[in-house]
Amino acid sequence: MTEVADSYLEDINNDVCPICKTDKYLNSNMKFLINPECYHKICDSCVDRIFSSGPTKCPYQGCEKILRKNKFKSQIFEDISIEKEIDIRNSIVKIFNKTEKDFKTLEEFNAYLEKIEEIIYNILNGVQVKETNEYIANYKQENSKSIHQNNINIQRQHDIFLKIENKKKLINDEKQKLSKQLIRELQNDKKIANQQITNNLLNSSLDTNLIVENARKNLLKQSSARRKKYIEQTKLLQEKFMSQEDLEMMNYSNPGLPGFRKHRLMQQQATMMSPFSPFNGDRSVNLPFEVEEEYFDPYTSNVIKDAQYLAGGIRVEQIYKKSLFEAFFGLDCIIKEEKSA
Amino acid sequence: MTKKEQQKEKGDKEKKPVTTVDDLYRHSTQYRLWSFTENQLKERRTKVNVQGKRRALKKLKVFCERDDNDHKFETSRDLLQLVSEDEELLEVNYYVDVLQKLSSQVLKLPSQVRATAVAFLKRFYLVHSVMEHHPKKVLATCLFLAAKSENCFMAPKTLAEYLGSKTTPESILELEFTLVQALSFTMLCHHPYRALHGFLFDFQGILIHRHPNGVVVTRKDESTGEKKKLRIKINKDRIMKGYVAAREWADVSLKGDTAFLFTPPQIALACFLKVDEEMTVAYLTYKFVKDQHKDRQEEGGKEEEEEEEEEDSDDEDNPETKFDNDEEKDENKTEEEKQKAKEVEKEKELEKELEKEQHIQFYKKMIKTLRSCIRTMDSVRGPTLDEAKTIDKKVHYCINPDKLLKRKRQEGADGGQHDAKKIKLEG
Amino acid sequence: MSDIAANYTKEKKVGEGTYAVVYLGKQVKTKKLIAVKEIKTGMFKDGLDMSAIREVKYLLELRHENIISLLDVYSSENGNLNLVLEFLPCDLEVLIKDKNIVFQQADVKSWMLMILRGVHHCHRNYILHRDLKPNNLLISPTGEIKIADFGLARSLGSPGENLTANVVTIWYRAPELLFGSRHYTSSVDVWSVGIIFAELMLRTPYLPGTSDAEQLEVTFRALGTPTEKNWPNVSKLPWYNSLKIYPPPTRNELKNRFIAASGSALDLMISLTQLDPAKRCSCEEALQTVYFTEFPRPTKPKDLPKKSS
Repeated sequence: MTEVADSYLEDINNDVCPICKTDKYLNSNMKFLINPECYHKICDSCVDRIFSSGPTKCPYQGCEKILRKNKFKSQIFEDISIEKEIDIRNSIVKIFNKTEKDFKTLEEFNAYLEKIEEIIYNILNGVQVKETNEYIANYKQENSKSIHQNNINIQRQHDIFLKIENKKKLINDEKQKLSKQLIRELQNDKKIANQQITNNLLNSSLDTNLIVENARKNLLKQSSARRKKYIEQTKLLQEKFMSQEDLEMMNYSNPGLPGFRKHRLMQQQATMMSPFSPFNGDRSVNLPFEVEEEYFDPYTSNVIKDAQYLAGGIRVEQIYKKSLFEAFFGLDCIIKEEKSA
Repeated sequence: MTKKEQQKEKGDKEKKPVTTVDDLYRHSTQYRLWSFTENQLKERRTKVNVQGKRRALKKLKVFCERDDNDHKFETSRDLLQLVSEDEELLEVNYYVDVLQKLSSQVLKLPSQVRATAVAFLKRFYLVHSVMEHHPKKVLATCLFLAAKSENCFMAPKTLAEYLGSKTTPESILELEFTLVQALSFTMLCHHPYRALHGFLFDFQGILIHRHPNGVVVTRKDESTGEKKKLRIKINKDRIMKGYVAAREWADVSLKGDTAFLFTPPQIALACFLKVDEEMTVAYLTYKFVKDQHKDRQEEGGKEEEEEEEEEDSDDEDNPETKFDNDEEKDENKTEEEKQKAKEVEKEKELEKELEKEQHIQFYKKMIKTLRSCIRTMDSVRGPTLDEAKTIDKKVHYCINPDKLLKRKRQEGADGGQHDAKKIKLEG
Repeated sequence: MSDIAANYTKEKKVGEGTYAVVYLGKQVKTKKLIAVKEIKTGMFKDGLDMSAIREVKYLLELRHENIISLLDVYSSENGNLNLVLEFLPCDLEVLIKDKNIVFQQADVKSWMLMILRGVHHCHRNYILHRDLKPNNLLISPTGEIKIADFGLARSLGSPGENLTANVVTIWYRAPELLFGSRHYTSSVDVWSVGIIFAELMLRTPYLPGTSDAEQLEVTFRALGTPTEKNWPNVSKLPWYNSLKIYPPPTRNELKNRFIAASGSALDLMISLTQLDPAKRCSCEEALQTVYFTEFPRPTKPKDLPKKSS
């Protein structure tokens, strides 16, 4: 059994379809597809060939699952376990789609989210499958109305979101157009100004410096006027495309997947948690001595000025600290008392 | 304590977090395995001595049984002079001395290696008897292992050359595992030298930097016997002089049981106390009592505390720390507030008194320990030359009873001269 | 001696190094799993091997929850020294290389916390490990990190002493060692921890040099060549020579290198991998940085990722 599985794996690693043995090297259009029933990789032509006439067994030896052609899809994530989890998550979330608003307290909502995670975990790892499926079926039945309603809401929100994104894109496009126009105009102005300078230099009798100076001033005026216009126009864009309603919608936070919410909640909780000691309570905080900056010490005075020591990171404070440490290392341990047990 | 309780305590101690520098010391193997009370040391030595005697007798018996010359164990037994517990101690002390001289004068090893070798030798004989392994042999291995352990490696060949013809590289290596086992594989020793160096610094810190106007000491007037308080300045030369002298005493502390009964900082301070009592007492007083107070207005020459003389008198002059300044401020407050303030003041004073009391107690305890340490250092006795010779011979025969019997055989052959020689041998 | 040996069984050989062979075994009385490290004799012709002595000496002094426990020592019939250690099935190198595991930020933080705690304990006892690398950071069944292999460890000693520069596996070797310094401090261990931190984030060795000489090149290309300006006295070190001058990376460049790192993680990394050992932080300082108290909190050891399959 495992030998077969190993050979399948080898094939896939070499970009060869384990069923028809087509090599991707020779057939560059070949794509691998997977089916959420069993996640076995099969090339697209095999899928076509085997499943077009109706649902049948998976061609992998030992896999008894019945597969349908329309369920096949391309693998999105490199890691198959992530792919599995995402698929499961998507299907569960369609059923368990309550939002924070549906709960009275934060704890209840968190418990709900926990339950979702538990369900996903169970299905993913084949734990208590029967009970979990029953639970899902029950929940579906009991909450069928609210599921439906919530799904509609979510869809609506999603549509609004898409609409707003579209509008944002339009605004950006317009903005780009305007800015390109601005640049062109500015360049043009410059060209004209230069031409005028040349003209004036050749034809008029004014001082050269004055000519240049005047031209420069004019150009500056022109460019600032244009830029002002550009800014005003961009401001108007927003008003032009988005209604008040849309603006309100934009400020409304995107519900997103339940997992994301949970992350933010955990963030809040972390700050309310108990204080954290990086030393685990195991540290001598109050040393019984103080290290002065300088001591008279003929034994180390020459050593510490040596470049070899300094380059290696040795500093006189450490030497002092270590010696002082040894001086108090057990000073208060009265062996006579402590060892008489 | 039952074994289970012992084990549990051992486990707890391992997990106990370290909150002070002293706690850190309590985790060291020197504290855990090689620190004893005097009674515990005596118990150990008695046990070791009995073990040694038994071993020597067994050896003799085995030899007698194997020997063709028909030496009966019962008769030979009286010939064998066993080494007593006191003699063992003298013998060990003698060889500690030999080891110290060898390592400092002949091999010129650093103090850390010297001290570790001595520690190994002393610890070895808390586990084995001199009748089991001759100290002459063991000390070579101790040197070898100490040099290895302290990153000062000496090849057995080199070492053997220094130690004379009887020591061979093989004999050094032979005993290595026995030694390491006897030490329970603990090889990290803490010695007073580094602590001494630390006190060289802290003395400067407290006596010079903290109190640039000098410190108050109590001196006894030689003629009148009266105790006088005066303020003196202690300069770095005095501290340095003390340090150098104390270091010599640190070498002495390696002999005897000092290292088993006291911790390195205590030994270091005891050495300082021995060479310059006035300075050391001043240091201790200021460090552990006076400087612990929050209000350090001492510079103005106000009345200060006096240190304790622990054995002679109970004349404990309580400090008269004054809180005058604060009281004047209260005049403007109302009666009630004044009352409350007074109560709070009283509580604070009480707390301070309690704290002070604790500091004084600590100081007293420290002085007591240090004096006890000095006594221990002073009481170390090595054997006289004659004693050494006698004991050494005994040891030799206990380890090699066959040689004793061979000698006896020789004497028997010599006939009449036998008695005379016997007297000479046992003299 | 043989009676202690009888308390333990050697069942399977699990590893072999240059100076020891490691067996998996059991403590007979409690059936607890243990590891027995048998030191090969004959390797060192002068009695007990130096590394063995160091291991035993320091392991007995340093008892801490993030340092491997030495349970017992005995000699076998052939005279070999056997160290009985707690059994630790996995090490950090295995986890880093395991492509099936994902590291969360909280996981990296948890490991760093345990590593720093262990190293801090060594340093406050003034002992240098001198061989920190993911391979020597073993992991207990409950997820705790345990520092192992004290064969190169050493007490800090007196300032006058000459130490050897030939310590630490080269990828994790501090620049002062690469320059042949004979008077260094516990900062050499801190550097190793910094490189391990980088490796935890990158999932691949940070500075993999193929030789002693190349290591310098690799290190400085990544972190800039030290000059007298940013590391006074560096040019006086024994093996310092006129090397190619690489500029130190900007904070942005480091940010791009360690995309997953938060601002304070990056700060800590920079502190740990300062070229000048005097500027490197200590373990104590590292443990007090905001990285460890900010969100996310470090994962509890039992929840840390484990070896797959």
